[in-house]
Amino acid sequence: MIQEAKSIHKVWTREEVEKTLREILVDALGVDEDKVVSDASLVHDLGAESIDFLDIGFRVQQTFGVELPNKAIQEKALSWRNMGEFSRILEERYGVRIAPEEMRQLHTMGIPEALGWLGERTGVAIQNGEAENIAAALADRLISEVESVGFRASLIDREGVIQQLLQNLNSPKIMEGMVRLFSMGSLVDFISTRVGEKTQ
Amino acid sequence: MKIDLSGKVALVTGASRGIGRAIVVALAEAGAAVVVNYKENKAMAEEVVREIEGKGGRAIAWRADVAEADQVQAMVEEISSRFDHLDVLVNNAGVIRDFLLLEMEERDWNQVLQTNLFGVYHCSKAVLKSMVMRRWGRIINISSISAVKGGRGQSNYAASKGAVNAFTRSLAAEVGPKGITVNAVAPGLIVTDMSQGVLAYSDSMVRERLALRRLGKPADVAPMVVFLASEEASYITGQVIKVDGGMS
Repeated sequence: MIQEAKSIHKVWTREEVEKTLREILVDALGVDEDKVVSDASLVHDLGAESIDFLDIGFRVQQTFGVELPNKAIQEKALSWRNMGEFSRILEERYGVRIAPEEMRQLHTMGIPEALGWLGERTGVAIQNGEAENIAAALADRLISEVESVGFRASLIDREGVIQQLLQNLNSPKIMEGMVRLFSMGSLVDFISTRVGEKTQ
Repeated sequence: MKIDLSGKVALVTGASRGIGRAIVVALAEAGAAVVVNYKENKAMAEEVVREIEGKGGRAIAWRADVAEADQVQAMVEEISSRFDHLDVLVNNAGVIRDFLLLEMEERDWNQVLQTNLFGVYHCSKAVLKSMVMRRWGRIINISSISAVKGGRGQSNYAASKGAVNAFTRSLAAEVGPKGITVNAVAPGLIVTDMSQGVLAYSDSMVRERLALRRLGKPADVAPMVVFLASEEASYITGQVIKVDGGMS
């Protein structure tokens, strides 16, 4: 019942990818074609729900032979929410392991506050400027994760992420930023790169 | 209102006898091409196919144990190659292993859950991709009144059917945006091979509890399934509909 991608071996131009993807999004999301502009976020502007991502993913796979990184991004976002990365950084820098139950207390803290808690809890001496260093390290990890699933690093506003982390480790804005990775333009880039077309 | 399922392809699990048989025959009579799934009763499944073909319908019999994901996958792939698509899935296959809990072996518990619940998971998952892409689908789970009315010796069966009801509501919420409805039909006491044990010792008692004063027949359940499979039922989803003669 699922036709194998007939056009996997076709050479696509970027314009063709864009045109075809726009058709897929219009069909899957029931939106007007003129709404599907390059910076339209699938979730925030086009109203995509979780099942829509599967639908779009099936169609992209069928049409271009390209797997969208839906699940990879979901897993990254989840591990982010679980503060897994922050916990790993603390372990690397200070050799301390914080149990997940305890990490949960840090959920709504910014990095300076969380480091203050860590100092009291473990006696570790925290250097000046350390909060900024950690925020930068976390932002870089986020960017490298985004790159590892095939999106451009430039899609993430590094400075913005650092400021958010300093205020709130679990800022919903960071999650929102990850979801915003799925825009019409970023998907055109993603697919074009994978179908081997050199974009200009 | 005449329900027309022509052009649709339906898979009914556990369709060689009982309620499943009545459902698959009724779907074929409404015009659907049908797959008669069975696990053990090949001869009976083939008889169902002949009955449907005799009335001018299109049917194939296919063996697969719904408790086994790989067998389900192979069956769905076969359907897709023969019929091109699958529009209606009726998760009907079910078993009972009735024992008081204290006497229930783990294997009795597991067998019931494996078929009645995991089978629903395997089959639904296997067909959904195609339904999502076609933006149309019907999943109809055959539950049981046991899910809401406790019965001695049926803790495994009742647990499996209660879980199917919950599964039905959740899946309906997931796939609704794609034009796929998911509902359950909960039969009461229906006379089949499977229910004979229950009916044998409680016949007079159960009649007293039935507003309609009679036990059900498989053919009492099938029309509800045909309706839920139709275009006309496109605004009904996430429901558990009792067909129980007024028992509950």
